[in-house]
Amino acid sequence: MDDQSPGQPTAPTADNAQQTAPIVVAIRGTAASTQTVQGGQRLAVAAGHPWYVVHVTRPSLFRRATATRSDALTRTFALAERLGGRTAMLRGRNVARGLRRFAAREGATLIVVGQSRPGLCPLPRKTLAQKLRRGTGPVDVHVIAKQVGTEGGWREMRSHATRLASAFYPYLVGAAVAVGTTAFVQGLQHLFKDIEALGMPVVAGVVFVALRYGPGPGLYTTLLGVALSGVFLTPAGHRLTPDSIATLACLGAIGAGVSFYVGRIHRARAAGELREARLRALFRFGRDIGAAAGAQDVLRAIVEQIDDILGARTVVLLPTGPEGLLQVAYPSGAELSASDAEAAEWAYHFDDLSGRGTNTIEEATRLYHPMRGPEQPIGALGIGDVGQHGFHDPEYRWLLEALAGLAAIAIERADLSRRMADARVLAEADSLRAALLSSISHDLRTPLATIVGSASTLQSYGANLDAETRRDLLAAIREEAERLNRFIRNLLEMAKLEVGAVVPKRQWVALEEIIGAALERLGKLLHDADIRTEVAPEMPLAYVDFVQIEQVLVIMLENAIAYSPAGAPVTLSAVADPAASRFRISIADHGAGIAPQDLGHIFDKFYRAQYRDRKIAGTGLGLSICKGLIEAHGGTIRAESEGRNLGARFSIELPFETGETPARHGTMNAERA
Amino acid sequence: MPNGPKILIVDDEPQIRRFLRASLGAHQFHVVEAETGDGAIKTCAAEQPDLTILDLGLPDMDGLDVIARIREWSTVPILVLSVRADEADKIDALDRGADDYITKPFGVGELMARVRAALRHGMQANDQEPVFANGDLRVDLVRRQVSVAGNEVHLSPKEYDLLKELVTHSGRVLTHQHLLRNVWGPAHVEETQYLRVYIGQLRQKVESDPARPRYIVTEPGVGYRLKEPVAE
Repeated sequence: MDDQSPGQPTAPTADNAQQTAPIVVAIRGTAASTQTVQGGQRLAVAAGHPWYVVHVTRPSLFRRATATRSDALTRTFALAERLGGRTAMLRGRNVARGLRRFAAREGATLIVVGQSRPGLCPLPRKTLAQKLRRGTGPVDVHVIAKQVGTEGGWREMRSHATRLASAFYPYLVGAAVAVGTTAFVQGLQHLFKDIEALGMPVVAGVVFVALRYGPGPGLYTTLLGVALSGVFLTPAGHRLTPDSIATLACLGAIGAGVSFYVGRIHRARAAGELREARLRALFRFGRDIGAAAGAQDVLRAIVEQIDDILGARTVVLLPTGPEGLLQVAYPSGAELSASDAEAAEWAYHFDDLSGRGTNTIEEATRLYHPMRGPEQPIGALGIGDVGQHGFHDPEYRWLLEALAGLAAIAIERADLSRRMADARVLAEADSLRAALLSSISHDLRTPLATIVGSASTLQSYGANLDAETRRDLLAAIREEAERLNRFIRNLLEMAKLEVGAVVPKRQWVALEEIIGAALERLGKLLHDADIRTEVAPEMPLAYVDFVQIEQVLVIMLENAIAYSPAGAPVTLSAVADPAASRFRISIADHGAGIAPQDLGHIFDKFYRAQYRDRKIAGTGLGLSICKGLIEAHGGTIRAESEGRNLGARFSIELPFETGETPARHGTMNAERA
Repeated sequence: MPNGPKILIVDDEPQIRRFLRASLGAHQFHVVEAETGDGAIKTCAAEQPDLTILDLGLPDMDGLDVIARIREWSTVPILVLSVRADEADKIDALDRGADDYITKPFGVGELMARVRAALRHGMQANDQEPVFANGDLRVDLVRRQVSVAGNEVHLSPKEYDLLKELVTHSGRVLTHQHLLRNVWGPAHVEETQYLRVYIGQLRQKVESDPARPRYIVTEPGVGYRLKEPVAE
């Protein structure tokens, strides 16, 4: 129990500032790992932290994991994901260092590990927890004690013993084969005196061992076989004849030759497996960065995948600095020393490797690899924290080049799609600006012409006009000025929506009250309009922005009145759908209606239904403003019409509340009774 | 020379000042003017006006600061000129001690109603008219009686308190926070839903068409106002 942490499972809750700091659960990928995961999960859930399950494999592309281990690992990861944790595979020679680095990257303050296995080695050795604690940094270590006598523990101990034994096993077999075949031949010599040195059974044994267990045991068996044959199989009383020396030499040569050849096969297979693993890694890399959507996502995928594949700490550098200098694009916050920046620029400009492990700017902390797109250099990859071996391994360089090529393509693709989106926005903005100019020149000048004309008439001829004409002109000035005011209000509102400055300031409000305020504001416009309001009784309060919803109603009512013949009724109705917790306000008129081909565009900016017979004054902004405001509230707006001259109905549908705020008006209705 | 109450107009737009001067002068008000915030504070101290009409957008300083500076030593009623879309500004101005606001552009009728309400508030601090009457609505603060078209209306105690608060400030805007603080208490200033419900109930009882109120009108995003009878 020396591993039992003096640290407390409750430690992470003590500090509220680190409330969201994740907990890292480190597993060995053995059968007992499920216990560690369950313990870690209980700890994380109790403290309300997110948690990771992390396994560190020692450089995996250069070594294969045993089958049982990867099975247990798969099961443990599946369990972790079922319990709501996130999983990560790290690669590194030093497990403790890899874990500490991962914890630092994720901002974790607690690492949970399982209790170390007892081990067969009698010498005391440092446990993972001790190694983790030795490192600096604000990371606590918590050890999950193992339940004694569980199947996992025993199986693990047994497999540990087996693993130790399995290294020596081929040599034991080789020795047995050598001794066995020698004894067999000696037995034959006792039975049949005239049989001379019979090397063939020994050769057969050597070939068997070499094929089965590889060149090492094969060579070992050869030597042992030759020695034993030399000692026991020479007929004339322990004296070597030239004949038997030739036999023994032949035996040794055949054994060595077979072992050498088998060694080549083994190496070729290992290389093939390595290559296959790398191809798989490349394939996964291409797939994952291809699936990333935004530029930032692509960069993150690149860095995470390369870190994963190479067991390195990667940075992506793009020419985003002043004068096109390379800057770290991901991960943000990665530091770039002067020599690193220089090495990166070299790689970028000369399309060549530079930095650590190369002959160019060796003092840099990372190896820099250029990223080249089909047409131009894109940037550079900085690979840090790779053991010295990596830089000189041609396979490693080949892999790095392939990764850099794929990364370049992905970055270029993200950049192109962003540029296309920008171009589209620009084109839209251009047509918007044109529409705005024509709208302003027409719709703002018309009322101004009336105002200037009427005012100058009054100024010049006021004395000669009769009282009624003077009143008419004055009324025209006032009405047109108010129209101007409405246009400007709409333009401003649209501008605010365009820059995304519209955030509903929600309050609990009565719908009746919004409707009343809208009618009040319309004031003058309503004097010869017949507005009928039908509000369902006992409507609950709604959690909306009073001013914005009022604005929507004002615009919709203005529209209905403008497109209706004088005196035609306009009906405003409000109904609640308590089941869906939504309400709907509809404004129906008996006016010009909307042609079917216009229905789809009626909420577009500056779109105005064209009528040959009449031209309705307006900016063509009103309905798109309504749409913007209603959508900012999480609601919908729609228009319906049977066709031209059959009237129109506009409806908005909104939730009573946003969901995050509880309705608190229930207590208030008690007094109403 | 007009000898009515003295009104200080603070606006940097000469056209606005000209129009205000003409319409206020026509009602026998004595008008003094200032173009800047600094000038406003000095003129206010020198002339001791009965009412200040203050535009919030001044060239030299923030109108909100002008209010705060004047409020350091004077209780003169301040009527703020503001543009729509600035509900937060309006509430800020009222919180800093402005008495009311009027939204540009405005008609002269609306202006005169605000000016009168603000002036009346400035002149009589304590001797409130015991009876408020507008149209069919009649509120007798002494007898605690409310009637509509001669028929007595029964209000719950809270409804009456709310109506009383509106009546004692008739013609002036009262923010949600003001009403909640004075009727429900300082602990409830954020509970605007109380206010919505009670205003709805009051309107049911005193308005002929609660959806289109004539007496208790909504100032969108700011608060409520009890309308006064239109002057002769």
